[in-house]
Amino acid sequence: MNKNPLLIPYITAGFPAKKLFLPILKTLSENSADFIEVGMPHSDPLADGHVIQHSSKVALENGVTLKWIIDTSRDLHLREIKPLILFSYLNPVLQYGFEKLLKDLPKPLFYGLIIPDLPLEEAEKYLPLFKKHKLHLIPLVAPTTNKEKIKKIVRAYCNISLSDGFIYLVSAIGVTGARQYFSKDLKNKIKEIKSYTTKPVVVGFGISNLKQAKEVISYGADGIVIGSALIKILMETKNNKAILKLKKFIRSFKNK
Amino acid sequence: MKTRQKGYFGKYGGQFVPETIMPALEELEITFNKYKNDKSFKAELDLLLKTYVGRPTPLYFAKRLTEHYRKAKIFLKREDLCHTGAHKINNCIGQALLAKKLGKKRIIAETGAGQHGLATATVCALFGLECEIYMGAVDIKRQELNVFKMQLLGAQVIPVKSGSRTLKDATSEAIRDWITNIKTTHYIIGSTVGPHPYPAIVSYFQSVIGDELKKQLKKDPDYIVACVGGGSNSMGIFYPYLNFENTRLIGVEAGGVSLKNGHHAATLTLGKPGVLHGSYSYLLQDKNGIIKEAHSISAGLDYPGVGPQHAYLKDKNIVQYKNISDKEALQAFNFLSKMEGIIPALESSHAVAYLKYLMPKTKKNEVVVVNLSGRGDKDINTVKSSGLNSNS
Repeated sequence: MNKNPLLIPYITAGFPAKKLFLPILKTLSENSADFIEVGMPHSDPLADGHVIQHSSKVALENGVTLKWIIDTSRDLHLREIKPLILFSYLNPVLQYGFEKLLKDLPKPLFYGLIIPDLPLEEAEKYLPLFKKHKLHLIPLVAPTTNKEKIKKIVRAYCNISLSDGFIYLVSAIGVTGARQYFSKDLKNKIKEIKSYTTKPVVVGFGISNLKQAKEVISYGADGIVIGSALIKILMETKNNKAILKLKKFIRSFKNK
Repeated sequence: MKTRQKGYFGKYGGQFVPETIMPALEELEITFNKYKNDKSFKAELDLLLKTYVGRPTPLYFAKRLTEHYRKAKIFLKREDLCHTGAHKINNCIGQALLAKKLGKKRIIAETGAGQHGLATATVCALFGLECEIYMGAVDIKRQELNVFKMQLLGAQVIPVKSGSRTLKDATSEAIRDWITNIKTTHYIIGSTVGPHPYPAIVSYFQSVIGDELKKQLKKDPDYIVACVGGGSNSMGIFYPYLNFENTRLIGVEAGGVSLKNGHHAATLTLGKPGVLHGSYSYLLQDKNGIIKEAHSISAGLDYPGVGPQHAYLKDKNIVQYKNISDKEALQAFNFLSKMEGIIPALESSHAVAYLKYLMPKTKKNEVVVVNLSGRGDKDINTVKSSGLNSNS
């Protein structure tokens, strides 16, 4: 069992308000986050459940764009902010310009990207660009991904990527959002991936409390992503209290 | 159509979906390729198309319409006479047979006008499959009759209240359901959209329309006109004619209220390439890649995307894409009803409406075929409330 698992909170950029983006990043960075996933809101977030659909809608209404995310994070420094991972659906990336985005993202503040609708089959042609611009494309492995495909994914992404990086394992079949329990297959899947790579395996989708986080870590995961549960905290809290609530919530995972 | 890379038509198409459903797409592709040329599969499909759907659908010579324009002869391919009232069932029967081969007992589908939902609910009743239909809350209201029919057939109609509450959001929600229930469920996409292999599968099952047309006409038509939303009825009738230089193919998109104010669904005319619902094609979107809301009086054309084959055919200039406004479609709805005693679907009315632009350019010895993709019973309330029903 990993004694020092990675804690990766997900936020939708500009939710609940643009002015809270930097305070949220700072709060998470100061309170045990190891990376922060920054979600670019999209009109059609196919992999997301109701909570992140809602935060995306609000953030879009707030006028969040990739350009805004880049401009706002340009002056941040890794001294105060943990490394960021941009989570975006493909279309905003394509319209911004794939390579232009990789070029424009401030580095080393930005560590990599997660593009949930870009499976390996479609990602291959972009992989050299990631190497060129010193960014990771974090691969997603799903519960439905078979051995052969896992091998292919590990091979393709490890070849291009820098010395570190990690594999993002989707905890269960379905979209993002809280789940009651995890299937036993999760343990086997983690084991399976680890038999092909030494890279950390981070588990996301559906982890909403410390108990679940501990469960997933006990299965052999090297880290967890907390998304919808965190967004829900922000949804249910008035803006002026959001930071305080968030701090309390993320700290509850400190005993990870 | 030439495909250089798997699942691509030129640079359009692909499989832009979460990894969770990639294995199901592969399984579907393998199953489709295995059975599309399988004798007993084809025999089962053909028998159902004949005895259950009512194929072949007639090719009707529209005499009064022809006399009205005094130009080329006008024929209507009567897909409106299919069981359930539109071409949608051609694809549903085929995909339900594939679902059986896949061992999937639960079917989901998205619907706009309700015609695809109705056809899906129908084949699910036919094969004893569990059926859930995602439909935008706006469309549920404007297509009330089809909602009732789907429920009558044993399907559950799930209202989608996100986004524009129309076909785009119904499709997104159906994809989310599929991601969640991937092991038990087959998703019957109703148009030539979505990730590979869907555009290829839907085109294949719909190409029965064009194949029949080839047998029904002694000479190849000079023009074929069909409406384009996602693009299934048009792909179906165009498919066998794509390499025919003498047959001009015209796809008619929904021009909505106006092309200028953004209230339209003229994706190929005004859209830009991007990714929506799993494939790369033309889309209505802003400069940041956020999908815009489409608008059309016809729920079946009210979609900000279009199938990847159409994107390719547009770029290659193989099909000409035009558009017709809501108002013109309503006028055509009335016109065809009074001229021929055929009430067309508002979707198909767009194709009929284009005749007023096309016919003056045609010659007397030429032949024009309009794909009458569906009947208009479902649209009576929309037409009634539009206030345009008395003029023709």
